[in-house]
Amino acid sequence: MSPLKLTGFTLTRRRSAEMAVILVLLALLLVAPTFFARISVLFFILNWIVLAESFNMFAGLTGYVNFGHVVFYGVGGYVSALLMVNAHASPYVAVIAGGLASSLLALGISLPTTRLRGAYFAIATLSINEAFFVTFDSWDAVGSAPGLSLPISYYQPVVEYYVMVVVAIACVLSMYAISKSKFGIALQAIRQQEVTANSIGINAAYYKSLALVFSGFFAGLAGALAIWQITFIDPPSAFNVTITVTSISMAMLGGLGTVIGPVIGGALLYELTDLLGLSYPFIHLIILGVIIVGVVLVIPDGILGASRRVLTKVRGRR
Amino acid sequence: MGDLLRLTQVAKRFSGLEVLKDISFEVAEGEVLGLIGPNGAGKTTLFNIISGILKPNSGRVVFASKDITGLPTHRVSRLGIARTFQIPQPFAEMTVLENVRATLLFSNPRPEGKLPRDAKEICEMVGLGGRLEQPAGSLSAPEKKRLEVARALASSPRLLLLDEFAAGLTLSESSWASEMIKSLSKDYGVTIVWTEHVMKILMRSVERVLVLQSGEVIASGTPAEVVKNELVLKAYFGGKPA
Repeated sequence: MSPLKLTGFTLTRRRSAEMAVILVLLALLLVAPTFFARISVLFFILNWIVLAESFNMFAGLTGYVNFGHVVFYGVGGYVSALLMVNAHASPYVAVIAGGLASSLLALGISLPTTRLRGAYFAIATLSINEAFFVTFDSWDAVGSAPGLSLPISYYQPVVEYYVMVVVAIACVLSMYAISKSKFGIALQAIRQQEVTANSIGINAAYYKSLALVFSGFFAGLAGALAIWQITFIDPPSAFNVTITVTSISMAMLGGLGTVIGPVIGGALLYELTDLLGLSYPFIHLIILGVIIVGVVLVIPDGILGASRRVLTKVRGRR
Repeated sequence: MGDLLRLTQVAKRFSGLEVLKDISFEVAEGEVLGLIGPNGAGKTTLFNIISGILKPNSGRVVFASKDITGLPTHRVSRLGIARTFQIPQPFAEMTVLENVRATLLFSNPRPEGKLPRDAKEICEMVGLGGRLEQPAGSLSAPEKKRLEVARALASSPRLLLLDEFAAGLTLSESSWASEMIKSLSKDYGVTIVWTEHVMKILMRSVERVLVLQSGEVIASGTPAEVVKNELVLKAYFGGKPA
C-alpha cells in the first residue's frame, strides 16, 4: 500500500528552509549560556513550550480539551521534589521519575474520562484538578499548605538549562513523530469523527489513553524541571488552573494540532506576558485577554494555520 | 450456505421505552436482505446493536459463528461488519482518498475477500474517481453517500449494513445505488442488510424483506409477498385500503 499522505504534511521545498531556521535556533539555544546572562528566561520559555506542546499532544490531535493539564505538571513537580527532599535522589532520576509518575497518572485518569465526550470531558478534568489541589493542600506527608523547599545544593542553573533544552527537543520531536505515524492518523480520525473512527476499526479509547500518557509524561517532566529551577513547590503553584489556561492559549495562538505551533505560541505569549507585565503592571492581563479573544475570533487555526492559508492564497494568485 | 448473522431475541430499552422487543432473524451468507418499517420502528437501533455502538438489554448477536453481543465497535468492524451512516459521517478535513486510505490502514484484510485493497480503485468503484483530492466535508450530499460506501468497502466487509442509503437521493442516484448494491453481492460476495423507509427502490433490489414495526418483526418474505401482507399495510397506512 502506498504511504498515507495527509493534508499539511506534504514535503515541499519550503521544508528545507524551515529546517535551516530550526537548526540555527537550536545552535543558538546550545551556546546561549556563554553570552546570555539571564538564561532563566530561556529556561522558562522552553518550560512553557513543553507545557503547551504536551497539551497539544492530546488536545490538538484528539480535539478533547484537557482542563486538568496542570495536574501532570504539579504531580511531576511533587514526585521529583519529594525524591530530592526525602531521598536525596539525583535530580536527573527525580526529573525522570516525575515524568513517569505523571504518565502513570494520565493512564489512570484516561480510563474513566476517555468515555466522556466534549464538555463533559473538560468538566471532569477540571474537577480532577480541584481534587488534587485540595488533597495536596491538606496532606502532611507532601508538605500540605506550606509546601516543600529543595536543599540549596540542588540549584545548578546551567545544568538545569541544558536538561530543559533536551526535554524540549524530545517533546517537539515526539509530537512530530506521533503526528506522522499511524497513531497520529488514528487521533486525527478520532478528532474529525469519533463514531466513524470506531466503526472503521480504530480503538478510540485506547488511542486517546495513549495520547494522554504521552501528554502527561512531558507535562510531568516540565513540572519536575520547574521545581528544580524554582526550588520550591506548594499546592497553589503546582495545581494552578491558570497554567492550564496559559498552555491552552499558547497552543491555540500558535496553531492547535500542529507541531511547531505551540513552540511559536509558547515563546511569543511568554515574552508578551513578560513585556506587558513590565510596561502595564495592572492591566496586562486584560490586554492579554483581548489578544486571546482576538486570536480565537480572527485566526482560530493559530499563527501557523493562518500563515499557511495566506501562503496558499499568494501562491494561487501567481 | 449457512447463516452469516443470527439475532436471537434481541431487546433494547431506552429508560422504559421499548425500542426493540424480541427480535430474531438470520441473514444467509451472500444474501441481500431488506429491512423496512415506518419511522421509529427501530431500524437504526438494530444496526447500532449489530455494529456494537449499543448493547442490547437481552438477546444474542452471532456473526460467523462467533457471539459478538456487546463487543466494542472497532472489534466488530475488524471481524468484517461495515456500516454506512444514514447521515454521512466522513472525516471532513481529510480528502476523499485519505478517508479511504485511513480505513484501509486500520482494517483487517480477509485473504478470501474479492474487494480491491487500493484506495483509488475503491473510489473509482463508487464513482468518486474525479473527487480524490477534494476534502470530504466539501462533497455534495449524494457524493458523501458514495464516500460512505467507499469507506465501508475499504474495511473489507463480509457483511455490509446500509442505513437509509437511498434516502435523499435523486432518481438516477438511487438507481445507481441499487445497481451498486446488486453488484457488491453478486460480484464481490458481500452479504448486505439494507434499511430504508422509502420502499420502491429497495423492493426492486432485494431478495427478502423483513418488516419492522414498533420494535417487532411483523412480516417477512419476498418483496411481492410483503406488500400484500395486511399487517404491513396496516403499519404503513393505518388500515385496510378501501
